[in-house]
Amino acid sequence: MEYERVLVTGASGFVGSRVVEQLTLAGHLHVRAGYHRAARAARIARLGVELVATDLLDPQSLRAALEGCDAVVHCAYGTEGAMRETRAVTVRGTATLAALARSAGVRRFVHLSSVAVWGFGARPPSIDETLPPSPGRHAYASAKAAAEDALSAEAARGLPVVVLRPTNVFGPHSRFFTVALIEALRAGGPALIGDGRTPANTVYVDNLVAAVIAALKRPEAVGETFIVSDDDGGTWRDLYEAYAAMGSPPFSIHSITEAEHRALRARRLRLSDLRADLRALARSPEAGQLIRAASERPALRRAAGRLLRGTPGGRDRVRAWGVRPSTQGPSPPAPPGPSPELAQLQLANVRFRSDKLRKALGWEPPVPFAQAMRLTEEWLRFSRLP
Amino acid sequence: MKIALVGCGAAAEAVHIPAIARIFSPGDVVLVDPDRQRALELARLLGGGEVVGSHGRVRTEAAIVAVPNDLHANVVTDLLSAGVHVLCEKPLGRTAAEASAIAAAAPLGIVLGVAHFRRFFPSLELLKELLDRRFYGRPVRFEAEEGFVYAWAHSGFMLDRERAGGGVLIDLGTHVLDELRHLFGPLELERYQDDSHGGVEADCRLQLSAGGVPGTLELSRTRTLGSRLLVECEDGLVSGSLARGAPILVADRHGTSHTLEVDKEVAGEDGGYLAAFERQLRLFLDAARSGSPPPVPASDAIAVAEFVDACYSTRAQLSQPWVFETLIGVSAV
Repeated sequence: MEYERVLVTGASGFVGSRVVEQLTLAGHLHVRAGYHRAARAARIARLGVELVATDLLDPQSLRAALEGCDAVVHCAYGTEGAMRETRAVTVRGTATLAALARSAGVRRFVHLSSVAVWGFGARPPSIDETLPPSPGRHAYASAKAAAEDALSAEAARGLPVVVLRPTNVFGPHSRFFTVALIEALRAGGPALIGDGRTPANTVYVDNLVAAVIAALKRPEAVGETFIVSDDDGGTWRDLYEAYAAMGSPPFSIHSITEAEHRALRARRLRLSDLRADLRALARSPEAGQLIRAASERPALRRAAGRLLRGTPGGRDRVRAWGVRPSTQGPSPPAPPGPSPELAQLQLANVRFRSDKLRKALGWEPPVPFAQAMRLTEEWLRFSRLP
Repeated sequence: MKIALVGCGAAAEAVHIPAIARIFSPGDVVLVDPDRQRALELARLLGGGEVVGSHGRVRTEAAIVAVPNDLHANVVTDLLSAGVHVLCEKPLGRTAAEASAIAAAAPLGIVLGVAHFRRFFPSLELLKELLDRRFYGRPVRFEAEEGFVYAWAHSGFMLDRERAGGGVLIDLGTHVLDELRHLFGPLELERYQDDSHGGVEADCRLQLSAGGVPGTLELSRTRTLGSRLLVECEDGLVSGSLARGAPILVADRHGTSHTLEVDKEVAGEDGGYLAAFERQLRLFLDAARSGSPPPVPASDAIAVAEFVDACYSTRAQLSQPWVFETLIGVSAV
């Protein structure tokens, strides 16, 4: 791999950080790490790499970031603000970066897309790269698909593009497929919808980085699109069982039906309204007067403490007036179950195939599931999460 | 007395402006920053104040210096030499040598204080009193940890070892080490590990002793550890937060526990942050007026800086198998 310097965009994010770590610590390349917010760059700042503030909507910052770079690994996408803003970063930002990269003579542009370009609706049970994208109206999916379209235009003008479409990326620092799942298990609420026998379509973060390195290295990758999935036959139940085993004692996995999940989400919405009303009430001057009066009467003091502790925000008020009820407050609200997006993923009986990546680039996931889970568990323990 | 706030970044806005606003009228405040728009923003927050572009134009009796770490030496020594009393943000210097050089620049009668503001949490004073009075006997060992996913809005200098002097240890650690030193006594290092690979560390672990009491300290910019100090004493445990005025838990060896809490009217609704900054500033101003020693003198900051120097000069790699075990060689793909 002969590159002078590789620009990694989104370098402070989950995947981008690990790309920078791998390229740097394994001694592959000179890396320039493009980050959006300095506050989030603590992980890559450890590495002593060249750090550069970039804004995908600011061509001047992109020109500066690209200077002297002959390869790009584009991990950045819009994550902040309203839907219109995130889409602009993902789509317009990618188009701008690609155009500037072509002008700058970049010799390889590896784009981190997503299997979300096939949307979350009805799909065939087995998907490979021959199936045209059909993102539907989901904001993230349609933005990722549009970003690929923008790249195609630059590829047609001569930019050597490789598109990677990873599946559900897990491992250390993964918010969606590691931290959120372990937190759901720890909370003890519903985690799985149905029997969990649908494909989890996971890819360990380092296996994805191996695909990035192959895409940088192999000439035959140029102009191609690859699904990146460990494609190991693992199901959602397998994934949850691996996380559940990390608890001490192991966490229980609670399953609910799809109908129960829908009902739970609807109830959750109503409860959130109620909590907001109670919070406002607990913070009102009238509530303060009530508790002050109650705290002067010993018989009421304990009861008032218990009452106010039962309201969100009330616990602080109780402490402020020196009431010390000895009983515990009410249990926290029931966990809501999987998010709508996670529910859709769990319910989809779809397998994303990585045969093309294996055949064309000789990629095999270097980290098997058991090792990936062991390392993930070590990180989770370091982070005090299980 | 008039005061200048030199450096109008995130710390200035979050903590120094509110403290200044409680003590000074806007007409007695000068805001200093090369970014005039930024200084004007803070002036708007304050409700007024003069804006200048360089510390060389400061003519006030006192100044708070809240500029990036690598600028402390120039800015503080210039101000001290001009006869301005200075309250400098931590770390005073990026190394003990730099901190000592800054301290040496203070002419006789000019006060140099360091913003180790956590000393002024009432809960820390309570914790110190419990330990000093041997509430549960002699301290035997301690465990301290503090970690937050880093989200401090700054200009980027904190990501640069040359400019910041280090990572989480010199940043967050300077506060925590000062608190441990304040509570127990002089610090001695046994072992220091961090996760730097040429840049600024985000996580570190220390084995150390403070005032002869052995203990551990863990600091993080990537993990939500909260803030906790647990002190095991001869006859019980004392536990509290080092980061804000949280309740202190005491438990004797028979399992009887009590929660001690500083009244919110004293500690403040924000966990004591603003009250601590206000108290720090008032005590510094008292020292400046009277010529008495500041609440946290430079010698305390130099002692912490010497300890930080010792950590960095003896560092070992923090074990993180998820980082190293699966590094991918080019030949593997």
